[in-house]
Parts: sequence; C-alpha cells; structure tokens
Amino acid sequence: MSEKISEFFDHQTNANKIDSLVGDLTKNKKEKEAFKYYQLISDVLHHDHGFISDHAVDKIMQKIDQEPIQFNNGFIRPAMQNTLTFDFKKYALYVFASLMLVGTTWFIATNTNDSASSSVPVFLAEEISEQLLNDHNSTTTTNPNFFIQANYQADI
Amino acid sequence: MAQLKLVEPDQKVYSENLEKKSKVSMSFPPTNPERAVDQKLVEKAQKGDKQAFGILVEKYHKKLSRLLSRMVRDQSEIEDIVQDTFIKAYRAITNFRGDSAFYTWLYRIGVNTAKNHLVSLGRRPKAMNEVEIEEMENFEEAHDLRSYETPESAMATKEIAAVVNETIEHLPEELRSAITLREMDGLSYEEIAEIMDCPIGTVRSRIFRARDAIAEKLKPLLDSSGNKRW
Repeated sequence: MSEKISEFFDHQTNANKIDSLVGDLTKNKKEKEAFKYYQLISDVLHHDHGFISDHAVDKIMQKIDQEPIQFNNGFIRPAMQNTLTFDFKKYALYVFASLMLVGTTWFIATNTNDSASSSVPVFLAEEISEQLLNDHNSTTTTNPNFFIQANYQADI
Repeated sequence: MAQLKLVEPDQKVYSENLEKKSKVSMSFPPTNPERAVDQKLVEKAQKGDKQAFGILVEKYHKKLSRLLSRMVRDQSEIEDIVQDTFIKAYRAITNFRGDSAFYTWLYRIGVNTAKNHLVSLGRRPKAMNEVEIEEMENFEEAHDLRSYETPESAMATKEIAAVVNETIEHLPEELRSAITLREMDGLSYEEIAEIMDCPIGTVRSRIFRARDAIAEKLKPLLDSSGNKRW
C-alpha cells in the first residue's frame, strides 16, 4: 500500500485513482505517517529542512481542530471538541431530568396509594355487617346511576 | 552547521539516457498532476475533512516558511505567520474555486498576513508586485533558514540530514539512482524508466524501497530525540 502512497507523493498516480488514495491517506494512520516521512525525506533533499525539529504541523493542526467545520453549502458545524462537550452536557442533563421524573412519579404514586388505602376501608365479604349492607341498599335509589344501570325508565 | 552532501546519480550509467530523455520530454501530458492532487485534497477539505487539509499543511508549511523568511527574519514570527496563514486558508477554503493552484492562493494569503504582521509592529513591509510574488513562489535556491534555527533544532536537523544522506549513499545503486532522479532531478516515472531502461512498475518499486529504507533509519531518530512532527 505504501508503494501507492509513494507514487501518490510523486504525483504519478492515475487521475481516476486519486480520489480513493486521498481517502486512504486521510483515514489510514499508517499511510499518513508514511506520507509524512516521504515529505521529510524530500524536504531534506531539497534543503527545505529549516524548523525540522519544531512541531509546526502539530501546532497548526491543533489550531485547525479548534476551528468549526465549514461546508460548501454554507453549513457550519462546531469544532469536534466543542461538539463533544455540548453533547455530553446535553446528555447528562437529559439523564438527570429523566431520573428526576421517574423518582418524582414513583414518590407521588407511592404516597397516593398510601393515603388512599388509609382513607378507604377495604372489607372482605364476610366482614361486612348486615346493617351496613342495608344502609347501602337503602340509599341506592337516590343514586340516578342505579336506575340507568337497572334499565329503569322514570315515568316523568 | 554542516552542509548537506547531496548524492549524485551515477552519471556514467545514465547520462546517455538522460540526453535521450531531453528529446522526448515534450511528449508528456501538459496537465499538472500536483495541482490535480491538491485540488482533490481541497475538495475533501471543503467537505469538512480536516485530515485532507492536514496533508496540505504537511506539504506546504516548509515552503511557506521559506517564502516568508524573505520578508520576516525572526523564526518565531515566521512560525506565527505560517500558523495564521493556514488558519486563514482553512477558514476561507470554501471560497477557493481552483482558479489558481492551491499553493499560489496559499502563498498570497501568507504574503498578506506577513505584511499585516509587519505593519502591526510598525515596520515597513517590503513592497512586492505580482512578479516578485511569483518569483518567490518559484524560489528554488534554498534560502538559508538554518541561520534562524535554535541550537536544538539545528542539531536535530543536522542529524536527520546526515541519516538521510548516509542511507542514500549505502543504498543499492539502482535504488539510489531512482530516488535521486526523482527527488533531485524531478523526473517523472516515465522519464526515469526510459533513462534506467526498465518498466515503470520497477521504477515505482525502486523509489518506494529507497524511501522505505530511509524512513526505517529515520524512525528511531525521530522517536527518541523528541523531534516528533507527528
């Protein structure tokens, strides 16, 4: 593969292969490193070796990495670092809000059940006294729903 | 600073073919392959690929430094200007339409950045017309940046140059000739194949093997001496 990068470095690659090679070069770390070595060798042979020991490219690329990404269509995406921070904050906030919602729901549900169970007595059939049943039946006629349920047509 | 000793191709073997080559060189296509490659990298950068722009930085930062050293003498100032130039170029990359070569566009940004830098310091920038800028772009005679280097970087530079030259000297003759004809004489693979009387594939392989051998020798040096450019 590096032989192709060497050829590419010399601008001897066929035009129809340039696209894929540029893709490989930008994605494959090993190929990129090979390219950088070839550039260094070329620089030395052309006496372009001023600043060889400096980290000029690294410094420049660090700055570039902080730049937002611009696209041809005018769309601008924030720099990767900022995007990650923003996403993390958003994600953390979302998780926190979800937990709060679940917790609050659980708390309310628990308390509501407690109060309901304490205010409304629940009896087994045999525990209901006859007097209580009589009282209940004597008041059902005052309940209009009773007549509807019993299919009763009021003679008005 | 020790002068670099450049390895010469074996003139006895190839001089005759080199003469022959000069007669056929006009038959090669006029398209500029370097420009085509740069254009692809620019297109990728325009689509948001910062790695592609990184390759352009790798390719041109030294040439740009050398160019700007004719306007600004201080090394740290040159570094700052080069950095600003690339950032400006990146910010404006979507506006680059390929009417000129990428390096021409980049160099113009660099020259303007250097001028603005000098004005901001109250210094008078050297006035340059189009012809002068073009001369600077094609400036092949090495301007001695080494005189502005720090002692540490000068030492590292010397070591790296020594390793490169020593490795080339010890390469098998066919590899040495191939890499020298390519790097020093700037010949295309076709031209080298003609001179060395071998297929283009062999030339490609020889140049690659020569580079690989030199890179292998450089790796320990770059890994150990803190000269990591990457």
